[in-house]
Amino acid sequence: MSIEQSNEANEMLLNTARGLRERGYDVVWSHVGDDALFNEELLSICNFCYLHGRPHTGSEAKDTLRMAGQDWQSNQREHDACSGMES
Amino acid sequence: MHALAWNPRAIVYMEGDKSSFVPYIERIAQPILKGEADLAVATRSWDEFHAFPKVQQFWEGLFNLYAGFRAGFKTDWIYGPKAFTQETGSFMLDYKASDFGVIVHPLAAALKKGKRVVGVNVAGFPQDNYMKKYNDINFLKHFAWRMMSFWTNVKGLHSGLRS
Repeated sequence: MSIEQSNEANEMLLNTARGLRERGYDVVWSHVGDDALFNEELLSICNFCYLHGRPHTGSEAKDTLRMAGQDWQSNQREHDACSGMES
Repeated sequence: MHALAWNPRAIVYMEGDKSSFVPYIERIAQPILKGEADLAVATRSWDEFHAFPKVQQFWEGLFNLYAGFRAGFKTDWIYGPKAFTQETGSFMLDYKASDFGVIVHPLAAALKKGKRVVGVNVAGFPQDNYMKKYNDINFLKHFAWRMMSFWTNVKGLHSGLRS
């Protein structure tokens, strides 16, 4: 699945994130990687998120996903950028 | 765990694909903010429940009946969103959840420990894109998937009641 396809498939999730932002809630988003989600807007909305089972700030998650590249889904659980993070 | 670090008065859990639930976060948090409950469970009305795909209605209805009987607490066990206090947050976080365990196990565990649990009706109608997603998949595949989810939730229920 490409990043573009992931974005399209996760439009529902993005709508949720936008609604939470509009109301000013603090957001922890879990299982970002597991849900095949790569969306910079959503990650910007989250105060904290769980990517590949590990906690990241939104900006950390964006950097991590960028490093993993287009094929991030196939190696998402093991890549170096995540394994070095605090669990 | 990170939500607890903010020292919030109430924490709300919801699934990411339930964007129509967002306006009801404040409503479900009210019993927590007022000190009237430790855990508030979002519930659908009968009409809302019947707006979901038929296969989902069958398995979720069956589970709600079973869980209500087994735990002695009738509610919409399987819908998902919940609000809770920081203390009750441990029931949501301190166990190894399967994909669906997060919906059922914490509620069963909270009831087992004598926590105050209430149901709060929210507008739980499925969105169009949700219905399209499940109308587009093969019936047998959907049936089998919901059936497996049912058994996963039964396991979650029993593990919560044993905790």
